[in-house]
Amino acid sequence: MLITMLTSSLALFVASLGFLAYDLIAFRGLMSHDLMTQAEVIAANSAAAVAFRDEASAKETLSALRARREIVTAALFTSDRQLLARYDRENAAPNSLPDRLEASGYHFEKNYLKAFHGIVLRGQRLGTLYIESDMQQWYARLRRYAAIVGILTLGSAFFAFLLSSRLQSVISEPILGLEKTIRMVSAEKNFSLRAVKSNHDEIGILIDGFNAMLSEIQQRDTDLDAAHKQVVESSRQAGMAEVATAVLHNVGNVLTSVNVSASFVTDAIRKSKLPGLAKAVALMSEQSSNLGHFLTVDPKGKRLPYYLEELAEHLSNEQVVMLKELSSLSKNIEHIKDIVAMQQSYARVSGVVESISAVELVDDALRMNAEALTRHGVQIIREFGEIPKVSVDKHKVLQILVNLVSNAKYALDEGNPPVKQLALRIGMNENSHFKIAVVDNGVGIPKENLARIFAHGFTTKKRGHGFGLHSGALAAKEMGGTLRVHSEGPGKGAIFTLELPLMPGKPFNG
Amino acid sequence: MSLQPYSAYRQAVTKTVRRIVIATLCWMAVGGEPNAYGSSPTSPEYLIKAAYIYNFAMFVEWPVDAFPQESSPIVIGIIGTDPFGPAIDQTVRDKRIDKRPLLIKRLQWGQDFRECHVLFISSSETGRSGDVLHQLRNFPILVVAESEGLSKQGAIINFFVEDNRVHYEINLDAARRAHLRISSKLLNLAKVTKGS
Repeated sequence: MLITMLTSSLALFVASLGFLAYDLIAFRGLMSHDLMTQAEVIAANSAAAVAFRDEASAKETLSALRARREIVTAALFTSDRQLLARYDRENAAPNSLPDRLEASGYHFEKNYLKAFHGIVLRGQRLGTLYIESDMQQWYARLRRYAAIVGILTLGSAFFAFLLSSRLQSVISEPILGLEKTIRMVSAEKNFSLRAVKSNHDEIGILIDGFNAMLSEIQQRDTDLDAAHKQVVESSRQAGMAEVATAVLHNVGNVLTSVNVSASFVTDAIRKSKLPGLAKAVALMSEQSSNLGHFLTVDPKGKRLPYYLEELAEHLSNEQVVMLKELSSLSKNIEHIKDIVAMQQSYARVSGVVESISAVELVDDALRMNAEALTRHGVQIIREFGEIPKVSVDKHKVLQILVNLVSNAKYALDEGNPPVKQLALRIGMNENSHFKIAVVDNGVGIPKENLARIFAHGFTTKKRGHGFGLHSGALAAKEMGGTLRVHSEGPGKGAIFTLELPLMPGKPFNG
Repeated sequence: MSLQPYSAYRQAVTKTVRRIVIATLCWMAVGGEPNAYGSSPTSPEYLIKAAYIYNFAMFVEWPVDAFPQESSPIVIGIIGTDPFGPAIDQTVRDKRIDKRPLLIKRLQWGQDFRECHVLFISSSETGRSGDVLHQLRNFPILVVAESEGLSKQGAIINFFVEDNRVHYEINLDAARRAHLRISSKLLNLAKVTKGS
């Protein structure tokens, strides 16, 4: 704004100076012309006085110059160059007269305008008029005009100030608005904001461009979000698959027991002494006419009661074993039912936050891997601290825990320590987060792998796909928590810690 | 060149004029011969009068038919005892008014005065000039006299001495009768009279 004002004021000042200079030069011309006209009049009027050398009349003629304040000195000379009369302005020190008379004409000398005019009558030169004017008028005009220039410059500066203040609201305010929008966008990461366009000018175009850019960013954001959701969904499905795998694995294991039980029962029934009873019954039917004789006399018949007694005892034992086996079978089937029911309970739509005990979650995760853990002889250590109920999407948490337990089991297999230990710890963290740690003393993780263990596609398993930990970490992040790993190195086991808020806050991203 | 104020020059002239006037009066009292005066150097009074006569010609306009041609001379006639001597000839020598040169003619009684444009009647002729003035009064002739009586009888310009200075009076009626236009500038410096 200062620059605008300076520029306009300076331009006006220079222009005014130009006009002033022109006017003052023109005014000098005007002054000299005016003086020459005056001189001509005086010369004409003084012709007779000069011709007759009438001093009084000459003086009187010259005294007409009193009306002209700028005339300082005037003098009349006769044809023989004698001074006839002179006039001096009142209250002014008389100026010296020229040494030499000149032809008609004028010149500026110091601060005076000096003119000579011949007194000519009917072709005869009768004398000369000398007349001298000061430059007071000129200086007065200079002063007046300088004042006008000054006032004009100040006035125009003031107007420029007013105008630029007004213009500022047209130019600066949209820019300030744009800047405010930019700040808000970068502070809030809210790309749905738009700068308000006030005029269709260059700034308006700029604002349009900015808004278009925001739209573009927003569109990409939306696309990214969709892609992210898709990834999350994929990982959820993958997690579900993992859970399903674990479930099926468990179900398979239990089914093996069921199968064994069924075979055993079948075998037992096949090898049953039941046909012996039938044979005994047939023998007794054969001897039904003289049953008493048979039982007492016949050697075969004499052994029959002992046989029956033995058979009864045998069948009774058989029944006990089979009942036991059937009970086991029933229990196993019940187990399968449980597993399936649990799977169904977790397989419901995710994203539902439930209040649940962390212990229950950990137990469920263990239960899903229970058969395998038992088979591999893993010792489970539970270190559960007292924590309140947590509000989480249990499906997601279970996915993560099942994956961690499964990994631990794998690590223990690989590492094959003398005592395979899997510790599960539940505890509180500061800032109202709870944590569940899965600790094994298995194969451990080399340092170089720690950094990329959560990367998509990273795996050390022969048949792994590198998706479990990646989706686990993603899910933890989604729930506003973290999944971290710690390992002292190869052969020294690993600690995976899942940390989640007790109450779901705002998700960290999306 | 020294620029002496004209008044100093004027004072000197005035003193001289005074002396001359006194001398003339003395001379007239003893009844001296007027012609003897002509041989003596021209008095300052007549030097002034000679210049004035030339000046009068500059401030007077004659009717166009007063001259045969554009460049015809302005004839200045002197009648009676010539008090100027060669001074007046020198005054008008090489001078022109517009395109006209000036010509001095010394006239005798009986000559035709009508060829003159300016007629100076010397004081010596005052007594016998009345008829001539009457005859010439309708002609475009600037009659210049130097006696009070002649002014009243129709002389257009009449010299007189007052306060030891040469003055002149102009009879406007006489000028009008003679169809002469006298510049107001000249009138400004003159004593103006009317009637005849």
